[in-house]
Amino acid sequence: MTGFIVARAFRAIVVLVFTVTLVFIVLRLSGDPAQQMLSDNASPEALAAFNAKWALDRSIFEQYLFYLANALRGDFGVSFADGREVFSVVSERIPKTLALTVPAVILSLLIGIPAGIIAAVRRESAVDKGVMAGAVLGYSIPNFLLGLVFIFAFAVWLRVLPSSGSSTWRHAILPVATFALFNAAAVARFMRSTLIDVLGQPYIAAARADGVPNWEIILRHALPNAAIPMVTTLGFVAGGLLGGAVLVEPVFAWPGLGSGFVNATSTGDLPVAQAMIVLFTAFMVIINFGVDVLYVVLNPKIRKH
Amino acid sequence: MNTPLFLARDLTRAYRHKAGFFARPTSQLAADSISFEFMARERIGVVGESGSGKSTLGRLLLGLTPPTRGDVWFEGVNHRDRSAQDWTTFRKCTSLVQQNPLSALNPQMTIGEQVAEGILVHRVAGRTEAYERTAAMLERVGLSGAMMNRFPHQMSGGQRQRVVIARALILDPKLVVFDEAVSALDVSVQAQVVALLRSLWQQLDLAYVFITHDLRIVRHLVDRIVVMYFGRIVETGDIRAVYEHPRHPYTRALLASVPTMDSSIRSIEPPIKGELDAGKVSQGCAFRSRCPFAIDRCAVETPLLRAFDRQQAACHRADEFVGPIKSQATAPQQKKIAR
Amino acid sequence: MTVVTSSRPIRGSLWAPFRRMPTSIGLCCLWIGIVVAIGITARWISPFDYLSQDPLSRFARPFASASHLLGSDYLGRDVLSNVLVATQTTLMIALAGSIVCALIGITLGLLAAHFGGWIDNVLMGFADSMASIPFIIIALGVLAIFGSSPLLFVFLVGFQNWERYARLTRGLVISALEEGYAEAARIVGVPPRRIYFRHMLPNIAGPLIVQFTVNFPEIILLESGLSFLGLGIQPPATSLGLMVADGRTYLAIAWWIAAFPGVVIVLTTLSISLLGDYLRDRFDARLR
Repeated sequence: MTGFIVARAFRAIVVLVFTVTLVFIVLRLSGDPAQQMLSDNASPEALAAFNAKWALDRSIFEQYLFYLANALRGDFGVSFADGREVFSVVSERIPKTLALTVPAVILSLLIGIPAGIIAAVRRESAVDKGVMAGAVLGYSIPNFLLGLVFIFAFAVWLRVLPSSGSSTWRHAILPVATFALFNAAAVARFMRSTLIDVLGQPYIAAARADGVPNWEIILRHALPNAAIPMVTTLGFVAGGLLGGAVLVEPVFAWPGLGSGFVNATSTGDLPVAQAMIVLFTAFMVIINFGVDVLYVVLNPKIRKH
Repeated sequence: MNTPLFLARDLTRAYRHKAGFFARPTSQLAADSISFEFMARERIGVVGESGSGKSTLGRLLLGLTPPTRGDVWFEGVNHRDRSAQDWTTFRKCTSLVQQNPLSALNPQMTIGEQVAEGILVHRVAGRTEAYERTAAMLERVGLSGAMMNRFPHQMSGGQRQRVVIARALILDPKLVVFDEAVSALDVSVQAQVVALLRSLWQQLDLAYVFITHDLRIVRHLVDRIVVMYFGRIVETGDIRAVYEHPRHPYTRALLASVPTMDSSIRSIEPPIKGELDAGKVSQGCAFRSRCPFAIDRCAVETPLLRAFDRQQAACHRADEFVGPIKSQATAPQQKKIAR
Repeated sequence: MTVVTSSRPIRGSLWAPFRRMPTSIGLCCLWIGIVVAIGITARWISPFDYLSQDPLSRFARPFASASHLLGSDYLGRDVLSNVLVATQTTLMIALAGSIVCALIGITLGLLAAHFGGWIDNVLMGFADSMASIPFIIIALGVLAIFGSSPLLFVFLVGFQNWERYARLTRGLVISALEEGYAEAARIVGVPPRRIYFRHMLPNIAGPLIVQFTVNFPEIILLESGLSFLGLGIQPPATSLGLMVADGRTYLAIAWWIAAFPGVVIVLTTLSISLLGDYLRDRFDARLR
């Protein structure tokens, strides 16, 4: 098992280094970094300081090492927009995004898992059909559109909730609901198919034949086995939230990482954009690594080896 | 008839296994120092249990698997020296009939397209002639030319195997390898296909290697037999000689296990125990752990093929086995050995 | 995943799933047919030039007059004409992107399966790394550096989920190579390219077509998402996502500007997804 974890950790680091390297290469290929990274009216002193800091007067390999070292320290330069440290621009947005995503994850698991279980146990029931319809709609409706529908319904039409901003907790309700609904549909669908799969296994039929009551079969035999594949959804959910944040946050003018990334991209604020790419990659790599480890720890079949 | 059609020298093929990412690879010999040759129009049977390396031998001959060591010559040309052009020519002269006729046929192509493909790929003839020859070949293997437009799933198992044989013969090959070609068929269908092969051989200028685990079939189909055990040839020779005077205990056991109506043959020869063991045999005879006649020498010295009248056998006690298996008196005394 | 690659012939059975299909799938097909027709004829059937402004009839309500059937926007442009042209743009990009995606993915998957070894490892490692990051992040990063141009945009959306094709193709080819027919063709002396395209492709086409129906709506969603953020299609061209973004500002006074393109996005992706699910169930029931 340690061998597996070491191999996975190694792979995680490779992906991370690969991304950082790719960002470095693409940035260097796309033009003079000093011109790109500094605004047009930068003073010659600022230019010289910039060149010294990123070792631009040295060989490309040394530049790369400097870049890596700075990236490791979280130093990605200053933002074009207001000249502040990229690190603080990015880090002050993190809690804002967490304020949306953490409740959304909890909510989607609270809705999605029971809905999936009921759908799997009561096949063809109203809950099952609702879960399947929700899942299909979930990957057919763009999340930004659902956000707009919510704004229209609750802010424009019913006038019960604010449409944009982040000053009070009431502002968070619509974006959290948008996130949670999407993830709940995905979680429920996966829970349903996993549980149906487990319920079709021979040991469940054996338990049934032994006269084990239905609820006990589900709670004691089926759910523990279904829990293992469910762990893998965590990586999926995290990816969905990250990709969703980019579209949903701008809809609600929520000042998190997602709208920050979109702003940086559309204004060409490369220092902020590249720092966020590295941050997002690190986040996904860590989540996936965690999921892999958890999967092994939970799974007795793999644990033995 | 001086140059043999096929000549194999010291042919060895190792398969490497890796248990895990950090595990050390272990290798297993599917073919171990095999040397033999055969002439045009000769019919060879290769028998052995599953895992004995008999299929690997067929693949090595056809150059589908590169040997780890050793060489194969076809009409005097070494496989290793073949250019891409030579390979194309070689492919034209040889073919293979696989075990499972359903998987051997492409479900998305009609019978005609698949049989005619050899002609078209090698540009032997134009489209019209290719399909004429295909129809003729289908009739030759006992199907009707009208079946050309059918898909494999529209045919029975026996018909499919006839199609596979037709495809193998369409280019008039000098050699066909039949790899368990009838094992997947019902017994009655098997008999039909065997009869077909016998009559086809009469008509064509063909040599074949018939690989099987079933000794009943091979007796009526081949001139010479090769018995394989654990990647090695343990006995080889004229089919009649080997059937009548098996010199290797493994051959004897195989022959004894053939179901027969003759009650006098049954259960005289002690049955072999266990399965073919994939464990490492670095020294001595690979068969010794299952051999009821094993002696101390078998654990120390690997037996080599020794020539007898019309056959060769790789057993230290080969000269003690005299006569057909049914006479118990001719078998040497069994000896208990410490495993 | 074990994939059965031998199936019944595709020729002839291609249309079989469409006989005796349920009403819902019939409706999906109908909608897809309408959208395809719009995609081809949008420029000719739209009642107005989609860019022509009419200051006298701004914010015309939908279904109120025959001239602006779906209403008009804040510049008095006809919403119906805009939706038609935007649908055409979105479909073109999604189609081009889907084809690019299929070509990249199938080629790389085939190379990985054919060569194996380190080429396989590098390609599949690359696929894994790309799959671990949400593609919209990568897309925004690329757009941040290179700016948006139509050609780049098509290739960019085509890169989404290429690794699914690659993985699928690789798995299918590897299991098809183990089937007897591939080896039989090799023994006959059929060259590898002919084996892959003539023998193998028809056998693995079913799952790849299903993958196409999964991929296509995803590319529509990506295109509309990026255009919604103002990073995709640039005015004066228009696309469904761009229209939704446009209408967003006027949600309180003119809901129809955003609603109609939104409805087209949802119905189109929904129809293709449902059709894809249905085809997967009917086409190759063993593939799961």
